[in-house]
Amino acid sequence: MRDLNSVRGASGICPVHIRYVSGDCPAIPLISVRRLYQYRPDFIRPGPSEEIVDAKFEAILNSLPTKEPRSRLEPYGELITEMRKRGYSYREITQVLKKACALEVGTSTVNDFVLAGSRSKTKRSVSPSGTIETKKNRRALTGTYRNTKAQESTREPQKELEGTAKTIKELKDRPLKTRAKKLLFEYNPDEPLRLHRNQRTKE
Amino acid sequence: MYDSNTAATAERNNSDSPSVVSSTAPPKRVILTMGGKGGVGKTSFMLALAEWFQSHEIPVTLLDLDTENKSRGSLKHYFEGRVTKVNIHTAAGLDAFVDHLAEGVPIILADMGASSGQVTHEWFDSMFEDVAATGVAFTAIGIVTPDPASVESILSWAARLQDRVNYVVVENAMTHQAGFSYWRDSDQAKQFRTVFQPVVLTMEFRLPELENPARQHGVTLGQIVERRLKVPELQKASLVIRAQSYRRRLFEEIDKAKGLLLP
Repeated sequence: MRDLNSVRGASGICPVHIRYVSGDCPAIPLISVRRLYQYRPDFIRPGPSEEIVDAKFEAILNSLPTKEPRSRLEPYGELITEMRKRGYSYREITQVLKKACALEVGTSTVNDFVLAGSRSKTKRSVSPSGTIETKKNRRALTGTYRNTKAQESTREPQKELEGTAKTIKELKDRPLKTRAKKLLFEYNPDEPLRLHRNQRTKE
Repeated sequence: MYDSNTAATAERNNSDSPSVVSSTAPPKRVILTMGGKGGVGKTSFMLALAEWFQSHEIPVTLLDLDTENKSRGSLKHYFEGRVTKVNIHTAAGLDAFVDHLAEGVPIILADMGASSGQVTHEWFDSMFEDVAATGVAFTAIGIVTPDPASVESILSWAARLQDRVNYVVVENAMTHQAGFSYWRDSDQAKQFRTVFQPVVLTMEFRLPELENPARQHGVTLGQIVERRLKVPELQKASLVIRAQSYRRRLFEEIDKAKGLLLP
């Protein structure tokens, strides 16, 4: 069974135990409840009173002012990510940002931004089954759970994986070959030959 | 130990098994004597069998696997130059079967030695399934005499070979009016016959005046009949006629088992 730490990690916010989702805890656990439900619908099902609380919390959230992005690079996040995908170095990215976007940042800043983004994605990336995607299990999840563009290009390998899984299942289900089966004819060389002369005479 | 996936299974697998011979090759057969008891007439019958194939112009490969047999009386003694001597007491055992079959011969006649049981049984346990899958069938020839030990030898072999081979049993009358009570009337032999339904042939008693010089000089009945010999004691007209009669009757007996002798 998945431990609660991973559940808390999935929310990204709530550091407390699940019992607070009843409504005793103010706004922050709300997000936890929603995310929990999103990731593990079977884990906790909100009742009617909880839905009312949700609406209340949502109203509060909507009334809050929008906060400024924590990094100057955030508006250019997609651009930076795409350039990294295309093989641009951090130095080249800073030059592009400077020329094209009039944004002067250091190479290390871009580097930190990209790393922070990837860490954040890792934290947030939770599969429908509730498994948090990490570097270690990413390949497995990509092949089995995630439905992304990347998966489109790996459809063939996935088919292969499915084929392999089928083969493994069939192999497991296949009964073992019993080599030493019942003998058609048995003979004990230590036992002398038994003659039935009388029977033969009668015949 | 014995694998129940016998010839039937092997035949089923024939189409998709890798073959050292060829999966599309015509069927082949290895005919081997069930060695165990020495001096029962294994080689004498194999000689007759070789001549039977020769008379029908069917090519066979003769293998003499009786490593302990002295030169005189062995298969090689009779068919000098046409017999390959094989030492089966090696790690490869009876792999010579496979190698000779791969050369294209349809039939192998293998005269096993008196002490070849263990090696043969182990070879069958490890190799039979895959060799049979290439379309090779096996016929085991058992020779029984009035001596119960000859019967026990066949039964011991059959208990190991099971239905991986077809059985032909030859009643060799080594004496005039020989009795085969242990073969015909014992429970164990009866069970063997019930289970494996062997073809039973008769090899009649031969006059010592004919048999002994023939062994001494390494000549077959066919050679005596054709008078190709310079052996005075075998040129007597009565012996030549006798040899012809023995040969004819033996061939008639062998005809009864042709279904188990041809590939």
